[in-house]
Amino acid sequence: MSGCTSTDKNSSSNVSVQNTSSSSTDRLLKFGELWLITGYDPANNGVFITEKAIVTESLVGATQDFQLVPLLATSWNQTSPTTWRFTIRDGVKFHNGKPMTAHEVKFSLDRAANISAQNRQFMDFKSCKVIDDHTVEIETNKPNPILPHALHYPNMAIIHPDSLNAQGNFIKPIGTGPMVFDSFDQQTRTFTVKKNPDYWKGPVNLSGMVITGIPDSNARALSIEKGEVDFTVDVPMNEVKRLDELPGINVKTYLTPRVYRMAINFNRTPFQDKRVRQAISLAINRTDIVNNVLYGVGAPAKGIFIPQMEWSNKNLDVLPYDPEKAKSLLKEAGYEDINGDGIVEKDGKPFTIDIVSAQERPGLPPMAETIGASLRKIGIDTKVEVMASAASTDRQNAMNFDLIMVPANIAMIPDPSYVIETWYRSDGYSNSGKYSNSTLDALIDDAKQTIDKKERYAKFNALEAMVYDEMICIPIADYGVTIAQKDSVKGYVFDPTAHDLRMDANMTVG
Amino acid sequence: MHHYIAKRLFFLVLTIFAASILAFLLLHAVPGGSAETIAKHTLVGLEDDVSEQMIKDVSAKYNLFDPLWKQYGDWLGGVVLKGDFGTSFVYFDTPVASLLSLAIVPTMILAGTSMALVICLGIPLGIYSAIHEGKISDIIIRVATVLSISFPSFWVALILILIFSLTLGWFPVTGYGTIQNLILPAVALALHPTAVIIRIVRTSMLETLGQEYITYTIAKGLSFRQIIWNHAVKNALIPVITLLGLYFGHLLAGTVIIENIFAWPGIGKLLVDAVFSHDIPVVTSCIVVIVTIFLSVNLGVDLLYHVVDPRIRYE
Repeated sequence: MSGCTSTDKNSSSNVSVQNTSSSSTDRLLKFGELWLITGYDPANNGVFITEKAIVTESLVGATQDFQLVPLLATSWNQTSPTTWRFTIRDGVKFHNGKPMTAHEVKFSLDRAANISAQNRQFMDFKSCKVIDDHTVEIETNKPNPILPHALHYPNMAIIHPDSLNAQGNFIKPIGTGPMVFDSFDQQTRTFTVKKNPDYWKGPVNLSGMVITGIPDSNARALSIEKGEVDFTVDVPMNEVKRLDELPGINVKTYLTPRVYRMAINFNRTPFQDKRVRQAISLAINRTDIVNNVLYGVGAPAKGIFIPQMEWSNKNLDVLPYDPEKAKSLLKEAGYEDINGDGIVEKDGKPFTIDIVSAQERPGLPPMAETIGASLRKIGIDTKVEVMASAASTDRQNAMNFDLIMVPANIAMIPDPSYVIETWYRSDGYSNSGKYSNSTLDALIDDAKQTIDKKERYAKFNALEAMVYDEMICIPIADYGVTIAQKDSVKGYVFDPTAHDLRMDANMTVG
Repeated sequence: MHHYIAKRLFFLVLTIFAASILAFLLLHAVPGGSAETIAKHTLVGLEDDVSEQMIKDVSAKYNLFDPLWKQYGDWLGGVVLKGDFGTSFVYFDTPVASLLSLAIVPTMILAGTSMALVICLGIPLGIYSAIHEGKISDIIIRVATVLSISFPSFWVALILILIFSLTLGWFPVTGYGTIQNLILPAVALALHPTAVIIRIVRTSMLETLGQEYITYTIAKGLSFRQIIWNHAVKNALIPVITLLGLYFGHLLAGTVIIENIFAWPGIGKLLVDAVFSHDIPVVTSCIVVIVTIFLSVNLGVDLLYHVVDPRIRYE
C-alpha cells in the first residue's frame, strides 16, 4: 500500500518510504459520484477517468478562467492552416513506469478518433504523425484553430498501449495522472484508485479514492449524512442548507459550465416574431427563480456563457424582468386581451403555449412551473409538461413543443465556437428550435476560422450580443453545482472547467 | 405425471419466449431513440445533444439499422444456439451473461433471506394468531398485518432507512457485501408477504380447526399440542405452500424497487438501469431470467404440492 509507513529495519536503503508525515493522509477518500460507473476507457468515458478518478491526463490543461495551459504537452503551434505541432513533456512516466513519448500520444489520439465520432468531430482529426520522441504533428481536415481546445477534452487523454490486451481490447487505464487504477468491482461498480508515488508534478497528498456511483440525489445526501461517503456532489437543492448546518458536514455551491435554457420552436407561428420572444424573456424573473426555486444554487443568466469564461461578453447584463414592457411588446405584436379573460388573443385565438421539461435535474420541473405562472401573468396561457428526458428528447426531435427546457453544457471544449455553432447555426445539432439565418451562419463560420485570439473573442462577443438581443433561445440561469464534504476532508479546490467537478489530488482526508 | 411435466415445460418455454419478444418490443416502443439514448448514457451526458454522426455510429456498431425481427432473431439465435446473451450496449461491450451472473447472486441472497423471514415469521405468527383467536395478541397481530399489507414496500424501505440508518445509525443506507447491508432491504421486501402469509395461515388454521376430524381428535382425548401439531398444522399449511411459491416470484419482482433504493447490485437494479439506458440485450435477458425463475419456482411448487398432499393427482 503506497501510503503505509515502513519501520522495517531490514529494508534496503534505497527504498523510499512514502508519506510518513501523518496518518491523516492514509485513508482512502470515499467519493459518492453522480453517475453510475458504466466504463472507464478514457476514449469513451474520459470525464469519469480523467476528471473524477484523475488517473489519466490530456495534452492541454485549462486555468480556472478557461485559458489553455500546458499539461502533457509543453507547447503547440500551428505550422499550416491544417497542421498543428505539439511538443510533448519530457520526464513524464506512465503508471507502469514507462516514459511518455510521442508514440503513446499518437497511439492515444488515433484510438480516441477511431472509437468515437464525437472525438473525431471535436478534433476534426485527419491524422497524427510522430516527428521525434517529443514532437507530434496533427493534421485536421479543415483549418481548425481550436484543436488545442479539443485536446483539453478528457476523452483525448493519453494512455499507454499496455492499457489494451493482445486482442486490442481495453483492460485497464494506464495513465500519467496523480491516481493509479487499483481495482473495479464489477458487482457493486465500485472503482478504487491509489496514489501515484511518481507523479510528474510532485508529491500527491491524497492516498486514494473509493468511488461509487450514486445516481439518486437524495441517496447521495443520505450517504454523506450517514457518513458512508466523505465527499459527494449535487445534493438536492432544498437539502443544501440543512446538510450544511449538520455538524461535520459542509456544503458549498459553485458555478459550472452549464446553463438552464429554453429552446423556442421556430416552426410555430408566433415565435418568428422577435417581440414575442422578447416578451417571454421579459416576463421571467431570473433572480427570483435562482433565490426561490433553485435555493440560491446557481446565478441569474446574463447571456449564454458563465462570467468566468474568458470569452463571455462582459457587457451583457442579467436578462431583465419587466412584465409591463412584456405586455406592451405583446400588444405591439397584435396580442391583446379582448374578452377580458386574462389571456391575450390574436385573430380571435387565445395565445396558448406548452413548456416541455425533462425531470432528471431537480431544478427543472419547478423552474418550468414558475415560468409557466410568470407567462400567465402577462396573458399567455401555458401548459407545463414534465417528463423523462428520453420522452422530452422525442418531443424535441419531433418539433412537438413551443418551449423546451434544457440544462445545456457550455464547455465541452473551452472555446465559444462550440456553443455558438451547435446552438445557433442552421445545421447545429443543438439548435433545438430550428432557427435558421444565413447571415448569422456566415458570421459564425467567419468567427470560427479566426485564429488571432483577441479578434476571435471579439467576433464571438458580437455574436453573443446578437443572439442575446434576438432571443433565439432563452437563457434562464447558470447552473450551480453543490459539493458536500465532511469536515475531515481538507484542501479541495473546485475547478469550473470540469464537467460537474474535477477531483483534487491535493485533498487530505482524516 | 410425466405427460403433465412435459406439458408444463412446453408452456414454460413458450411463455419465456413470449416474454422476451414483449420485452424487446416494448423497449422499442418507449420514448427516446435507442441509439440516441445509448449515446447520451455513454458518450455525451443525459441532457446534451447527440449529433447525427454519433447516432449513425452507435446504430452501426450495435446493428440498430437492422429490422426489428432481425435484431431479435440474432439475439435469440445467440441465446439458443450458443448460450450467448449478447453484449451490453452501455457497459462497454461487457457480455450480458457476465452482468447477469454477477447480479443473480445478490438477488438470490436478498430474495432468499426475505423468503426465510416470511416463513420463519409468517407461519408461526399465523398459527399463534389462530390458536389465540379473539384474544388481545390476535387483535394486535391482525392490526399489524392490515397495516403492513397497506404500506407499499418502497415506503417501508424509506421509513426503515429513516429510523434504523439515520436516526439509530444501526445499518448502512446503501451498499452490498455485509450482513448489515442485507438486513434492511430483506425486511422491507419481506414485510408485505409476511403479513399476507400470517393472514392466510390464520384463516387456514381456523378452517382446519373447525373440521370434523379435529372434533374427533378432541373427542379421542388427544392433547391440545398433539391436535395442533400432528393434525391441524399439516393440513392447514397445504394452501400456504402454493402461496409461498407464488410469493417467491413476487419477491423477485419486488427486488426491482428495493434493490434500487438500497443500491443492491442485483438483477432488479440491473434491469432498471438497463431500461433507462435502452440497453436492449440486458433488458431482454433480465426479463428472460426473471420469468424463468418465476415459472420454474411455480412448477416446482406445484410438484411439491403433490408430495405434501398425495390426494392431488396431475393428469
